[in-house]
Amino acid sequence: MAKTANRFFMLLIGSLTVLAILSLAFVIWFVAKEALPLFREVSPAAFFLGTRWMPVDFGNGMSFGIFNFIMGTLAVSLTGMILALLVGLGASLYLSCAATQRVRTLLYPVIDLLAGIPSVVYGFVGLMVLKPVFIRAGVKTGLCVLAAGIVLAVMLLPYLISASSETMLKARARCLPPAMALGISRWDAAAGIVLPASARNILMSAGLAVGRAMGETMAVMMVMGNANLFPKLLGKGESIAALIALEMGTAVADSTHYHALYAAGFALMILLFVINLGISALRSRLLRRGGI
Amino acid sequence: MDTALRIENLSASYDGKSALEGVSLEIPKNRITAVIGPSGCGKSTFLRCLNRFLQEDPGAQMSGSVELFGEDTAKIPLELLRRKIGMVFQIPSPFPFSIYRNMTYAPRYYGIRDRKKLDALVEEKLKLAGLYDEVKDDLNRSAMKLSGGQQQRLCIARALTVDPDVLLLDEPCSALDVRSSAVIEELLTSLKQRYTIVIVTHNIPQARRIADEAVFLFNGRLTEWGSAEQVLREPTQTETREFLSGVFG
Amino acid sequence: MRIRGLLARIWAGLSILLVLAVILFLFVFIFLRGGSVITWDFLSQPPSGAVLGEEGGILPAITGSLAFTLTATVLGGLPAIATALYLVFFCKSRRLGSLIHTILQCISGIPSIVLGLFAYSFFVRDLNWGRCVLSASMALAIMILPFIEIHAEKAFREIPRGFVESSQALGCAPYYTVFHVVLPSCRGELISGILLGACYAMGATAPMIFTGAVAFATSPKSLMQPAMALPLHLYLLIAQGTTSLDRAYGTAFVMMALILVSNLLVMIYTERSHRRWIQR
Repeated sequence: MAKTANRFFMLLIGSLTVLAILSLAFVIWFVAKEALPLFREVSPAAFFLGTRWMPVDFGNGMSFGIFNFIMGTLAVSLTGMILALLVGLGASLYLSCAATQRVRTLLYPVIDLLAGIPSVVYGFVGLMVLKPVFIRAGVKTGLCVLAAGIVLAVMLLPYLISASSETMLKARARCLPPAMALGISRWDAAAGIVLPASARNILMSAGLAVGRAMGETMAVMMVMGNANLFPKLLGKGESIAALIALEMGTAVADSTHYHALYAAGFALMILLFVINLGISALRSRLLRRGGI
Repeated sequence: MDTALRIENLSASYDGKSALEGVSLEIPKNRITAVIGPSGCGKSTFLRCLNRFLQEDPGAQMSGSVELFGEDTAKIPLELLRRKIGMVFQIPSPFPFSIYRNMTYAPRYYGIRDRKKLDALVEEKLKLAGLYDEVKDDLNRSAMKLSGGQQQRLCIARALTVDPDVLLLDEPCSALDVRSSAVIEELLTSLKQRYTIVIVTHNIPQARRIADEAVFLFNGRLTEWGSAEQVLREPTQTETREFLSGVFG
Repeated sequence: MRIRGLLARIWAGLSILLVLAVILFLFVFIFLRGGSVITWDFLSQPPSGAVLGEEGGILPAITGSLAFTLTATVLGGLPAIATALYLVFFCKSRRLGSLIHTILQCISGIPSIVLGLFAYSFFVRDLNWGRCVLSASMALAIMILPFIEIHAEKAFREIPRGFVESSQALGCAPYYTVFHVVLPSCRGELISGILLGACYAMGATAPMIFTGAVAFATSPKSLMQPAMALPLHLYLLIAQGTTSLDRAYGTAFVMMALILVSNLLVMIYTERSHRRWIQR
């Protein structure tokens, strides 16, 4: 009896694990299947480097160039990341080098609240709060890459803070006592030793966070303005994720337009795989070489 | 014989829980003083009181007085006190920078910018720590790539870069193998000509090998202190005798 | 303190204050503006008005969100926990373990909008399920799978090794160990992880916009029907313009309140269990 139960249990665990693993293959296969037919009609160069996106023929022919969307995705992610680093590193420095254990256990869950807020709500607050500010500052519609970057920065903060303050805590435990024994003040040691000692790991976490930012859809879509333009900080732009979300509803199944949207999503996914795998390979190599 | 540190009625507590009670003793200059006793007897706490490092631990309190060459340490500005009394920790903890930058970090902080002066200082202190010959070819190598024993000697050399009078070592060999420990013991014996050394150690044979003076703490109280010869070979107190013969530890 | 230290101190202080201020602002902003909209009718009535949603409530969005979230949590949570169990207790090969971790990391890196594309291509079209709760929930399930797995794995790894080994040493079969030692000793952490995963699924919009959510659908009767969801409802109300704005704040209020309550529950539980570990 116990033996049967156990065999059944192990089988269940095994097959569910296989299912979890296989889901990746399924996603890749079913997105690739709809994406690849595009390249029978549009050359990869025209697709990735073209700047004209005209999915429906209004007399001038169709064209599918996603260059501006790629640039828009990169621009908004990097803007968001830089802003998030600016604030997140400072906050992590405080949490790791100044806060007591009690304050830390109190603040971490509060900061984690940010990770739970739905991205639509971020977009909504961005529209209600940032848009008027940018209009007053002279941006015509108030919607721009910088506004989306700010919203994105807030969304990235919890990931960045938890990753970087964890690294900094380790560096602090190692480096702060000997530094203070040399008479170096806490904050000088924090800035001069803990921060540079954690830099490499922080950069890797930032890379992962940029990946997360590039896949973000709703919040970015709501405040970035969505126009096929080469992104400027105070100009409109459109990300790949927003392009898909906005146009999937109108794309006729199996049309070139439909395949092009899948191809854009496929490219985005592959890019994120490369970022994720690259960083984790780097991390494990550094670990093996005995870094921090 | 000159007294380096005079400790008067020193007590310490963590969150109201007493860790050290009414310790009074003198630590002579240019000698190695070993602080021994069973785990949790307050050895590290004692050491941390000497350079007022205890105040970095949240919830820790200390009272009583410590005089460094006749001057009350409570009246010495913290930064200066830390320069006068260096400290080396149990786990080798080089900064994750190059050897050179580890050695120049504190001097630069205290305003030495002249490259030649810094180079000379690095060479001098690394030689004192007996590390120079092993690393001179590549001072820009990461300190993290050194062996454990080399890292610990680097930490000792780093503590010397601010020209302290006293060097505190908190079980500096407990994370090292026997051979590396022997090198460090030799190093400490050679350093006592220029520095006063206080070492907390778990290792009685080590204390017998290098210490001139010994302090035995038990349950936060000073049980016995004096020349190492006397404390370690002919203890007068039962606790010391029992500890040395391995009844507890 | 040198000038660098002073600057670091100011920077760190300002940053943490800014972070906390932003968090406080987000919640207060939504709660103040949305609070007045919340009535029993708002929660229990379907939307109405000349432009749908201008008046009335959000009942279908609530029931829809419930359907999406529950389905996704079951579909994603079970494989996630099984994978975590396998990795922590049964996987003997380190290479296989790190391979599985890499795959999970890749899954967590798939943008949620691409999961929507996947579900559309596979479930909606190829399997011909059409736009329905189940199709969208599959996408959501894959989205929260790595999230729950990480939480579960962390919880399992924190169980003192001795618990498990003692059970094994007594000759107990793995399933017995798992159900009588492993799961009971980290029930709370596990539930916390699942709850946070559910919140994550509840707030997601991108995977469901073309796979299962239909504007102002009624409450779903089965998993094979499309439904409405809170985040999409909010999005549509915003898109409709100023007349629906107070209802939008109300909808945001409901979501923020759910997030806050779930996180508070988790927070209280971790605080309590933390004490339990210390006393031990």
